[in-house]
Amino acid sequence: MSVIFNLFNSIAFERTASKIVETFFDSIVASVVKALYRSSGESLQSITRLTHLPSKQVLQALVSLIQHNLASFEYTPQRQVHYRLNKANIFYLLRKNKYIHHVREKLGVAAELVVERVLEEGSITASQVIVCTTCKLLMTDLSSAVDRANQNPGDRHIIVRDALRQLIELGYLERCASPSSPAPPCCPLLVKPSSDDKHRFLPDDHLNLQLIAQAVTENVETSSSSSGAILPDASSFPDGKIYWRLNYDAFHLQWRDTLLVTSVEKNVGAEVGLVFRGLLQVAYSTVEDKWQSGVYTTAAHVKHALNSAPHLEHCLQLLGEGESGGCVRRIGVGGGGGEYQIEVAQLVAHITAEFLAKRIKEMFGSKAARVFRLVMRNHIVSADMIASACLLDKKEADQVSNMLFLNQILLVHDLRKASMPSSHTPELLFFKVNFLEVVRLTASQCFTELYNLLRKRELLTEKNRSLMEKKTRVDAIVDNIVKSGATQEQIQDIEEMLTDAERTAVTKWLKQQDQILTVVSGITDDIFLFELFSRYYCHVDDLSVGRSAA
Amino acid sequence: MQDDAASTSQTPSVYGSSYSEEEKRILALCEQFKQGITVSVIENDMPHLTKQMVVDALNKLLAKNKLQLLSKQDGSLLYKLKDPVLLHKLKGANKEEQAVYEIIERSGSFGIWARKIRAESNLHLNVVDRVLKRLESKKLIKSINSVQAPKKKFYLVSSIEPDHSLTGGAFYSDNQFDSNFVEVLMDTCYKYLATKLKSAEAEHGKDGPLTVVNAAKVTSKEMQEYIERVKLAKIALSVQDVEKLLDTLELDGVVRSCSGGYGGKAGGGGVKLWRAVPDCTPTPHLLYAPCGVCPMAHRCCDMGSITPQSCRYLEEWLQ
Repeated sequence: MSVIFNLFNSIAFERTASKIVETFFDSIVASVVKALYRSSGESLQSITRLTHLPSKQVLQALVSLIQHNLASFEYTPQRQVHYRLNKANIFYLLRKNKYIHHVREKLGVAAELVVERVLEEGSITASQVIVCTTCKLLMTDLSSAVDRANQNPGDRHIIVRDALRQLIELGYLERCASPSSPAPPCCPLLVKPSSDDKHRFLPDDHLNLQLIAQAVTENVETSSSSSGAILPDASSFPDGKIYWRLNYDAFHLQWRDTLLVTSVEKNVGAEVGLVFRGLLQVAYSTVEDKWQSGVYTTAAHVKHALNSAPHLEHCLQLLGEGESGGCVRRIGVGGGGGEYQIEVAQLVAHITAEFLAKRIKEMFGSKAARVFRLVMRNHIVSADMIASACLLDKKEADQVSNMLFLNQILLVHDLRKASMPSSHTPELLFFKVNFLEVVRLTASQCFTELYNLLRKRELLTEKNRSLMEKKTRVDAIVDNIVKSGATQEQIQDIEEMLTDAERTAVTKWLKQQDQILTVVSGITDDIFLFELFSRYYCHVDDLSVGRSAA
Repeated sequence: MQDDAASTSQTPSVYGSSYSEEEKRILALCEQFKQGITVSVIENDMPHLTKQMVVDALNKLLAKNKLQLLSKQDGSLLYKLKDPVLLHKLKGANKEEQAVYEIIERSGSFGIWARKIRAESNLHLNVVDRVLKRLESKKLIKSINSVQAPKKKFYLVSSIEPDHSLTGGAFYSDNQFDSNFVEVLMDTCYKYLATKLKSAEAEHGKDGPLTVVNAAKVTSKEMQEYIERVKLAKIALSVQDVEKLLDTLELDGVVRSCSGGYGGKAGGGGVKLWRAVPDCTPTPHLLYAPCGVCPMAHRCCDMGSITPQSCRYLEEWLQ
């Protein structure tokens, strides 16, 4: 299989990408994204020509994109700079809250705030992020959540530093290029980090804690709680040239493992899921690239590492028998008990096939899913066979297969026609499934739906803008008079500036926004599965995808 | 066979005086060997007869319609006694009727349709139709419509049960696929497997997951017995029928099959075992909003009649 399958290279993602950028940045950056989308590299002049924008604005947009790792640049042999989009990273903007939530669950509030700040800035120095996060902690009531019993509240920047160090050590943050001249960063003059190992960690000699504490005090005094902490100048700290950004791969690897383990857990129970997770961890210790599909580990190693797991033998036997979607294989039974091979690609293909079957079931009914699984399992199926193999009425089977064909899920397999057509030769119709195409099609539908939802949200935001501004104004006034000790009557008077109808409209809009964002977040999960499939599909031959589906 | 033939020296006297001694003996041999006899059997039994005499006797019996001539795979000829009941029934039947009946008889349980009879008998289609009607009225043959091609009429000997490919098997009634019946059967099978899984989890939960999985497995035979016990079907379902139901459940993603015996339960390899699997795939989030199921999604864009801003389904969903 040598077909290149990049999920984010589709035409369907084009308008979604520019809409996402418009939502998180502005329309100028979105136009630059639109201009860059279809090309493999554009110069500043050609982007300016395509967008009809002044070159200064285009340059600023490119700075924002590069800073957030949404675009990259390279020098051509003619020493020209060409800019290119990092399309996947544009999509990851929609997962912003998921990254933040993941870190909060794993490492607590301080780490969450650090990640939030890093995502906000795109790339940032350690000192800058410590100052901003500490200020936020001091200015909001979140500080109580990170205060340790024996910790001096004045040492909160130490807590933030520790959280940052932890994030770097666990690989959630990575070194990135830094602007060669300080503020304002002038792209494309960036200095790429060296591959030296020491830059993967946060060395203490790069942080001047005294300077940081001083910057925090100054920042708290100058900034208000509503505007948030002001980003200090990077050059005023010793680590002014060491920039950090989010490493999406670290998150995605953990999400992949969770997805695989959950699938095994739901199929054969929690105990087996636990052993499978252990098996993955043991296998990781033997490989450098944790993303690779076929990872091996010896049975002796597994038994030693997981000896406390209950019913280990049972779980290993079940995993080896194909209950894991055929992804764990036991190879050899030598003196040490042989080896275990984990074929992640196989399980990903199995989960994807089940996901697609579920979608077909929900959309066209269980009989359609049955036909889909049959064709997947048998590779090519004659139209006459569908009715008998799926226990369907002939007419119904024809209807279902026709419906799947019209929706591009089933394809008609072309047969070479007889050189001498005769009435005795029956007309045979065969169906097949191009699994890759079905995944591509579903992903395109996901992108279309994302675009529609983001567009709808934008329209509703515009419609409710004046109302929301009024509500914000009223809330601000109420806050101020509460602080100045106003009576209940005075507060009520101010609150009544918003009528009941307006309040209902605000509540409704907030609810609608939640509804849209919940689905958007869910669709990013669906896309994540397709991302995994696109990463691994070349390790899976079509036949095994079919088998795993049934 | 030859020794057996030689041992029979008695000639039955059921045949009248119109038969010569040789003919009577040949008929007796044919009665003894129902599968038919060759010339060598006759020659061994009656070594005093010359080849010409044997041939004459056989020709006479064939002319009297007492024997039928068949050819073996190696090309040698086989003489077989005609069914006396059939002979009685075909009494008065002309040669065309006999020829057509023989063709139909040869087709066995698969049956044969009129055009093929015409091709094999070299008779005109009208003649074939007339003959078929006559044979049907005599109740020698019956016609059925195949489920594969409902307009095609297949003919087969009335005493033979039609093949499943013609009738469709247990899941067809009156040549129609009985979807409701199949649904009920599948539902029953799944419920049985699901109950088995639940009880396995309750009883063997502490013994480890492998014990639970093994205890939840059921053989096709067990399932067939269960369906028989609950008396769902009027006709008895074969193990193959039950396996077809379970196969379909596997295609539905709610049952998983595996082969081979386990823990002494199935008693050996090659036995197909089935167990229920929970439907654990979550509903795709794509389907939560109307765009995920919209048949017009491919035409939806910022301009034109179908746009996200003017979509009433999106509006209704947000309400």
